[in-house]
Amino acid sequence: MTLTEIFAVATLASITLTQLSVFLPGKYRLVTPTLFCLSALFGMAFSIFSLSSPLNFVLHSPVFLGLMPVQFASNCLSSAFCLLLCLLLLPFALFSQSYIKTKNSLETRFFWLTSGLFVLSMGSVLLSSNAILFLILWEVMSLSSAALVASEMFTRNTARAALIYLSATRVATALIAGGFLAAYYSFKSWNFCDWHFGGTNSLLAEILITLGCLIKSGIWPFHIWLPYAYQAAPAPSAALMSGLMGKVPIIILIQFFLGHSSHSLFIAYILIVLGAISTLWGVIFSLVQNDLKKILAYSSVENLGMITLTLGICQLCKHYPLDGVASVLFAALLFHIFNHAIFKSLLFLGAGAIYKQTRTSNINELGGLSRNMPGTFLFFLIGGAALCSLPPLNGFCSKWLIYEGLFKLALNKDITLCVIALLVILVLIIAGALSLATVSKTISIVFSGRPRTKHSGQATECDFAINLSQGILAVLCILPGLFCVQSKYLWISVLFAIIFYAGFLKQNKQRKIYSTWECGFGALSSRMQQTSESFSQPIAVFFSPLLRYKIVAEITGKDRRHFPERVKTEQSTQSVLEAKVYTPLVVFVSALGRHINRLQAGSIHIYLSYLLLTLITLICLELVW
Amino acid sequence: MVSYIVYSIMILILPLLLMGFLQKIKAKLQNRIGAPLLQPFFNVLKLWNKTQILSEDASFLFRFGILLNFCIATYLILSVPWLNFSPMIMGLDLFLLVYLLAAARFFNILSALDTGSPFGAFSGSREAALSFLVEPSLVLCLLAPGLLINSNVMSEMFAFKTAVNSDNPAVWIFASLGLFITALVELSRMPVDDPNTHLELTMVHEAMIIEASGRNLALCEYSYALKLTLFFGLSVQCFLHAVSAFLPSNEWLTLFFSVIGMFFLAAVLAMLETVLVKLKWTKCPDFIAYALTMGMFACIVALRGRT
Repeated sequence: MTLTEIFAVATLASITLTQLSVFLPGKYRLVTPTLFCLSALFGMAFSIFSLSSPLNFVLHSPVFLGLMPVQFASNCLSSAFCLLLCLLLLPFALFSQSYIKTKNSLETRFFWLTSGLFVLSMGSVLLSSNAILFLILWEVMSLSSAALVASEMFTRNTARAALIYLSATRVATALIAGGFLAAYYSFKSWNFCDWHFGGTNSLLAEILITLGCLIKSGIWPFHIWLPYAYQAAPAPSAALMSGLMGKVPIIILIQFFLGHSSHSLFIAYILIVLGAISTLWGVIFSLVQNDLKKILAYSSVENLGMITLTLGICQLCKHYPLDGVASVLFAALLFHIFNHAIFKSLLFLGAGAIYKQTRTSNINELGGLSRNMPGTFLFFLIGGAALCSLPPLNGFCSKWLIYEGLFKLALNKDITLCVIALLVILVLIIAGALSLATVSKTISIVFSGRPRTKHSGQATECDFAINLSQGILAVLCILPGLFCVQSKYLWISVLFAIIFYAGFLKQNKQRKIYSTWECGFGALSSRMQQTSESFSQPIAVFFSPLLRYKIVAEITGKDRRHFPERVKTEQSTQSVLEAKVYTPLVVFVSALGRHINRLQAGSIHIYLSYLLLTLITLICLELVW
Repeated sequence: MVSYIVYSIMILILPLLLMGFLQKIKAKLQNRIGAPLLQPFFNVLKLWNKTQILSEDASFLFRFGILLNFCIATYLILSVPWLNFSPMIMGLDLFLLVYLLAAARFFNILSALDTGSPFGAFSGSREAALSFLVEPSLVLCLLAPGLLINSNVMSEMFAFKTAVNSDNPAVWIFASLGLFITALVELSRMPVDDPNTHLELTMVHEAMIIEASGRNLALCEYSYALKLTLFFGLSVQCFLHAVSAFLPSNEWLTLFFSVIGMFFLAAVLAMLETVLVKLKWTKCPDFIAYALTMGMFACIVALRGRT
């Protein structure tokens, strides 16, 4: 037995113990998170050892899945992903044990059970080496994450979100299962190692698998479920879902399509186009959201779009063959997957901390939290700066690598590739500028100024475990930047700023504290501040057709022009895709369902006539052939 | 080493001189005597010693943002190559430049909104909107020379008379014009924003620093001047590359020429600000489209010229 296998067994055993420990009485509350951390450490050891000696494990009969045995095999990619997963589990467990502290212990148990199952299935789905086992684990992953989304099932919104998410995963699984069938048809094997995509005979399988994966990771136009699900899910689960689950399909696409010699151009173009659209779409919609978790969810759409886009371009380069550019982009892709997982989890944990202390995640009800929650503020600032990829942080390192690859591609002799590269650079630049607007809006509305409601005014800093979990992730955001050669001097200038700042603090004599300048109108109230809507208005007007952006202003009073008594403005945004495509689709499907329902009238006579009809049809068919 | 030090001191003095020159020319064009050429120096010194008034709602981010903004501006001015002068800090590439400017903008917006002042907030949101419009043109204008030289490292892009196929004047001229228009927007100068008004609801940059006073304001003004130098410098360098055939190759001489060019641009700006009126806010995207067009032309010419 190798070290890899020992640690694999240890991880499995400790996760199982974690699941069992859920049923301990309430006073052993801390046992479950501790065991969770322990299994994360074992998992880390497993993934590090499996990098050098890959896992290859077949479970023989009597356990047999009908067509294939239970069979696991790891490669570098899946080991690296497992490492990332286990790395994020530590802050997850720390955060959750403080976050999920409700009186109703049933809820707590349910949370830990489903998250254990979710994490286990997410890790093993990438290790599974045949299609049947993969589908089973994939289903466990989808269903357990749907259960996590539904775990705060007090409101109608949550139920709706869970339903939307569940239906999206159904479609994704159906497509992937169809794709696997098609792949079996062309390769005559259920083993992943026998599948060599890229030829003409497997195009159908490729398209189906790609579509299924894109639905699961929430790429435009299939991103509809994402904001609902992430908003409804408890913050730590949303962190895991956005940070890791969204990337599982991408890793699968990489494993299926990038490892082989021939590459399908069609899939590459699908990935590029959908990735580019969802990059822009996600960031535009994230700008106009008012809910903290929805902002983060849409920005996940943006980042996953960026990752998909890079994957598509990588595949394109491999087709042409431009191996140098392809390897730069591949590195950038993996690095960005890693970085996005870290900073997005950090931001979701921040959102969770804010929700825990104020019981709201509507940013228009927050404000002034920088004084009450300084730790969360600092970590959220770091995460936000990483999200809009500001230089010394990890987000910039991977984005810079993407740009570097694209620039190398633009230097190519082929004019089509040049134009594609330039357009993609433009898309990324525009998305970057918009995400800067989004993040600065979010941070300043939530943390700056005066509190907008009593809840945010009376919020207190959350406990040490929550801050520690955010701190770990913030350090992980900063670390890659330290090793980046480009940013060596940048850190010096940041350091200068900090030293300067400390130096300025001493000059207290020359400082006066006074109220914010208010044009001589008297004290500013908390309502006389920028709102989320007013910040995004100039950009939202620009994209009003996409957003179905409307402002309705209503001014009443006797002399309503000069002395209005009451001014009311209302602003609404709605996704054009949801309104024009998905709502009609849902209406159509449910109408169709009603019609089909007529077949099942509950009358034995009608059923007998069906039988008769079937018999006649079968006899006719028999006669014809 | 000595030349580096001389250069650094020069490049740190130049911005305020440029601002003074700009004000002076503007005053002359408007039949005023105007403040002395060194007035910006006096202003910064005076502000440095004044009491700073801080809002009671401000967090540490307010002053830290201003400071970081200043540090980034200084970093940029010391790392942008100057014709034959290789910079103090090597390895600046064009994406790093763009994202550093973005970082400066990010902290600018945050410190503007930090006090909860509606003025600062309005201008912050406008700044974000403008930046999203103008950033693509900045990148295109810088990409075009990069495509020509086959490198995205700034010191290779702007190396004078060494690059292989840099003799493509059209690219450089388009890039130069595009950068100049970009500079007008980024620095919130006349057709987009009026730097002289302080109480108009359409203003961008001046309202962002409305809460800054004393040392903070001094830092704001100085980092603004640094950014002005940076943008004008890039624009002038592109222009000098276009006419490189007529220029001597001595590095101090070219430096001299580029300084002359920057003062020329300042004079052009002063003239523009005397003649033009401020655009309506909703018309600004149309103006920025010119910069984008210049950038696109530059890229297209660069692509055509290469193949």
